[in-house]
Amino acid sequence: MELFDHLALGFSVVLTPQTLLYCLMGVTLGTLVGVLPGVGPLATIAVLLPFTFNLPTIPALIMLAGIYYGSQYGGSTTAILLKVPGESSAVVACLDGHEMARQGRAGPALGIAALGSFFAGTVATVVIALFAPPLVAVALEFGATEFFSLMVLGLVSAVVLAHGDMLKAVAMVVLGLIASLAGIDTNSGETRFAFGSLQLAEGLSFVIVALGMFGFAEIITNLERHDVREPFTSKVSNILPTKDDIKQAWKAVVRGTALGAFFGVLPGTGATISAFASYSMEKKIAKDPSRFGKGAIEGLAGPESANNSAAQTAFIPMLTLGLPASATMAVMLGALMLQGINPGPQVMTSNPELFWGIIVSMWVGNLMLVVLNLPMIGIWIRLLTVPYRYLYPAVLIFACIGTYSVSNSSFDILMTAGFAVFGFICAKLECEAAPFLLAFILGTPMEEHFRRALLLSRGDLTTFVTQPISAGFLVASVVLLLFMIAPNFRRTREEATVEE
Amino acid sequence: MKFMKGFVFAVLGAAIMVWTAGDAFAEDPNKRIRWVIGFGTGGASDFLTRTVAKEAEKTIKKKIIVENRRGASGIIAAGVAARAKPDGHTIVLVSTSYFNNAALGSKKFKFKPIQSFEPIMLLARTYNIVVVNKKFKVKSVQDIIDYAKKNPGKLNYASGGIGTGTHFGTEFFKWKTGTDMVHIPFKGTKKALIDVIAGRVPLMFAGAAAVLPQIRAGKLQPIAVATKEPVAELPGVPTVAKTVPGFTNTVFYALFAPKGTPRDRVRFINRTFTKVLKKKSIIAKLQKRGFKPTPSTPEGMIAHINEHLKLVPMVAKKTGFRLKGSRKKRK
Amino acid sequence: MQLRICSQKDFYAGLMFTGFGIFALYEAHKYDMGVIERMGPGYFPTILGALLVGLGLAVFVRSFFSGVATKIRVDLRPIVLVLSGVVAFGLLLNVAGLVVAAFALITLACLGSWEFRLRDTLIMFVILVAFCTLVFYYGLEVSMPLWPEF
Repeated sequence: MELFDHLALGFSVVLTPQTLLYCLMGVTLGTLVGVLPGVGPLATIAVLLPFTFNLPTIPALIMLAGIYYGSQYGGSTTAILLKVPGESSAVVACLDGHEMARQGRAGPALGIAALGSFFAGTVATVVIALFAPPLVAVALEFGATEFFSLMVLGLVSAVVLAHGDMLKAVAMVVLGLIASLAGIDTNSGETRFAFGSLQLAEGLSFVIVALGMFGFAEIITNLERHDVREPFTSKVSNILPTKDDIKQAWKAVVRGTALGAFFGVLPGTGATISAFASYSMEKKIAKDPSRFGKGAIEGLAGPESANNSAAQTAFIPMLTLGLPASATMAVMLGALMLQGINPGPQVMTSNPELFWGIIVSMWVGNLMLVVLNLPMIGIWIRLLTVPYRYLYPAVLIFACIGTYSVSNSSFDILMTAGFAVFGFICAKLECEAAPFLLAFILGTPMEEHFRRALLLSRGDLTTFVTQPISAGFLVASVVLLLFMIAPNFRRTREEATVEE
Repeated sequence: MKFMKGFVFAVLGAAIMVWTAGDAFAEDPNKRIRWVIGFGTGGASDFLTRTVAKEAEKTIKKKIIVENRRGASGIIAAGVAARAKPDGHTIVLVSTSYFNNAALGSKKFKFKPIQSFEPIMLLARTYNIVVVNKKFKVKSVQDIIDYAKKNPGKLNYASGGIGTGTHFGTEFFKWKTGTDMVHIPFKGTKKALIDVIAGRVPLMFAGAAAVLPQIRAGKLQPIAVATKEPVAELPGVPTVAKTVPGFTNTVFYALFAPKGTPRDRVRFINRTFTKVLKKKSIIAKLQKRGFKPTPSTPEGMIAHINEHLKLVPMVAKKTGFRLKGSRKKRK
Repeated sequence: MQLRICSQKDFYAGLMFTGFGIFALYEAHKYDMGVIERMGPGYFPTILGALLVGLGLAVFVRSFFSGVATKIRVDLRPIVLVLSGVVAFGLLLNVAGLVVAAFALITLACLGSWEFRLRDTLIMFVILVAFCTLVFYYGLEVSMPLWPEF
């Protein structure tokens, strides 16, 4: 079968000592830099990009791809251990993943994330090999209408994410949407909510909001609760996930992988939405949804797998069309072009060894990651036994420098502090940060797509339901919404009767 | 025991710090050159910068660190450079959109857009290409004009954003040809191209760097190039100027140093980069990406900039081209 | 009439949301609303702002009647110290270099901990700065000054 020929070509390219070495270097460097709090995959790649300049083409690209997954994985590690998401899709890992870590189950958490990601990576590689052209064709069908409806679904998932008060969660979502609007409005060029600050005019960066609200606020709350001193060392049980863990989580992994593989191809927030969608789905399907938010392993396994498979399928539009699906992919694209390669459909035919070499390197890179990171889990756990008073200043300074290095802006550091205050207040008032963050990610794109859809349809609102794909997402949103509200009514009615 | 370990590390750390302290006090002959650019990592402009920087490093034996400071059409980057020490170790690269902002009196500037700097040279130019989706049955610029005149207010065109060269070019075209087309702005040319390829928007005056790969892949049809003469990369594609005399839509890249930088340092950088830009290998590399190297003198650069500064307000007055805002004024 | 607040947290949360909502509406009114085919920059913020005000008021009113009645406990020392450290770092980095900024950050941050020990703090400072210099300044070539410009 042709597929085997392609893969064989790819393997022949990748399995040379030189290439393997560069893949390993890339994966290692990517993980190490990606682990630093405040330095997400985007910053990692941007910062490590110069290292690849002087290498010959194929090793350079494979190293770069290795850096990419390494940083994704390093970012998940930070999200689980420190509740600092390096990228929007890592936010979900902060929820149940971090909770697991707090309960002394950091090892299983990291382990299932690694294994789930590896599975996802393998499947995604096969998907890319088999389905790249049709997937791209589908992705091209997504215009403003479809994206808007997809994001509506994402927003509804955001509310599902909340475990507490629905009303406040919805309010946080709306607040997140408003915060997202700060910056230049694409459709009119106006700067909104900028208060004369040039940096604000460019909009608020996700990393800053996430680092402030999750990472810094977490440190501060930890310092407040003196009695929760060594939160991780209390009972470090297993280093690896147990058989039970795996039994619980594997279905989530498969579902997450499927979600991510599809959504990753969509330009923009595809990967993030897939992670959130996976979380919501797992929460809704679970026999006991109340476990979520308190360390439910499916809440980590599903999104992490979705995350990783989306990260790989994100290469498809980039390689086949030359159109990057996200900012990170844009940097990868830039790196490719610096090496003189022009991605596009002709890449598959004119440089097959490059195309298939990269695809196979994805799988090899994922394999290396698992091999590298499973033993590392022991090291991370050991690291966590360091007394908190030594740990958190280190986290703080890495985070500050990391944030600064993204756009060389001190203003960013100050904004992070600002969001830490906001996050602190929200924590005190029991307003959840995750819905805010997701809404923040989706807000501006949603508005942009909504307005463009209406621009193209000349004001016809029915366009959202007449376009089939868009209608499908809207229906799914309504269904999800109903799912959410129904049990709530029952619960409040029960509460009311109990109160009497 | 723990204390001993900590102590040893502390001594090591102190030693490293003292070593680096040397940097601050001595005049370091190997001081790096800081090249601030108003563009993001990995993009076409970043590619231009790094290509030149890498080659230049070979001759001057100093490190050139590229500092990406995208935002506000290069105003943020320029601001950083304006405040830097004028010792010849900081330079900044901006492009046409920066000057569009300057010409229209944007309030984003907290310094003088041009007077706060010493001009060094023009680096390169890139151009826009008129492309259409394959379903849109036009073969030439004249076809587009005819179609637009027959269907006023119906033809949509895409741009990479309000105030960008892609927006400016199409509005300029509308003025010169008396046509009415509807502007659909996107966040960046790459995103716009997705919709053009998919057929949702039929037409775009797209930047060469982003669109050449798509043309080569057969995804989009080039109708004309917005330069004075046809380009080597697209043989057989006519210029827009053939049908619309005097029309060009190019983006130029200008290199500045903070005001007060000594003349000999300016000349040094000018000479070094000019040599780089004359190298055959560099020219080929840049052309493939849609750039045309245009090394110039400082005076030449100022002249070119002034020409553009005169053109922009004219276009703004006659067309819908703005830096921001739709129709109504802010209250 | 004596209105007892049932949930203090919801009370303040409601106020916060309403406040943000009003602020959003105020900012939004400066911009053009436009029509549905060509929505202006003011459209969405207005709708969202109004929505937020509504939700905020709902939470606020509800706080009088139901909700969990736990008190809000705040210890100001960690947050003030840690964040002053971060802000100091941000302000000092470009002006005084990494070393000085890090000193401010680490000292202030450590002061925020109930387990503060001066000797440990100083040792940590030296080690962390050396590490960051190697990794970020030399290794990753982040563009920032190490020392103040004399």
